[in-house]
Amino acid sequence: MSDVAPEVGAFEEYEGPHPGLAAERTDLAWSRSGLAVGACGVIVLRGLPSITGSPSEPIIGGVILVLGGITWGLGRWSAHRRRPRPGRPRPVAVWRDLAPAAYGTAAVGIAGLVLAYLRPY
Amino acid sequence: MDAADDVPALDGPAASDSAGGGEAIPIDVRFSYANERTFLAWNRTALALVTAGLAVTQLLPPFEVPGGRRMIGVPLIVLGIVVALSSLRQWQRNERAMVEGRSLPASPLPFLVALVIGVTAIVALGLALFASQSS
Repeated sequence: MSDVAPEVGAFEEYEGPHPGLAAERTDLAWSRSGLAVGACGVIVLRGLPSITGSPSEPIIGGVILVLGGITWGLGRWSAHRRRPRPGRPRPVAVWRDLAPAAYGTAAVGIAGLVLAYLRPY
Repeated sequence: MDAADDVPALDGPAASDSAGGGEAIPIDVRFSYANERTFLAWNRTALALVTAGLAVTQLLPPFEVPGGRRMIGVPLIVLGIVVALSSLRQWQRNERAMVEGRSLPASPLPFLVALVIGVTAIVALGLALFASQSS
């Protein structure tokens, strides 16, 4: 029952306005972000060879896929850890909640740069 | 809810008199969630830029110009990396501004994205015209 969001007006310790469904929208945004990274990894791992007919890049694709899985998992774990409890809304994000997503996307970009210069033209 | 009257205005002077040595003043958590979602939206934008650069460098057939695909794709990927890292810093600046009751800082990201995409589009246009002439 602790997973159930507190009812309206249950925030006795929190002094601000009721957050409404903002936390739920934020969780959905996290899911979209994780899915985007994971789909990018799947495309590189399996989609590129089938489309171009060129040799696969299993290492880079696998790295991106693992990064996507880590980002998604960290996002979900963060959302679970920060879920609202009776009496107060969900805690706001801190640096360590968001940094893995940012560094993960940057790492995907670096992998893309490596891939761009690895292929012969 | 009359409890909302105790919350300092985000840009008002009432926020500064509750300085508790780095102690966070109670802010409207909806704005913090919105800040988090804005970061995530920028993060997806960065990923889309990286993916677009990957598609240009990996999926397109070679141009007439040597390295033509890299001329379009690499700036997009680099921009994606910059946006991914800058959005994290921008989120932190926004969060600090809200906690300290200051107005939100200006973001350089929209101008940067527009500039790089515009220049890349001009390069792509030039490549398209050049390739059509030589083929």
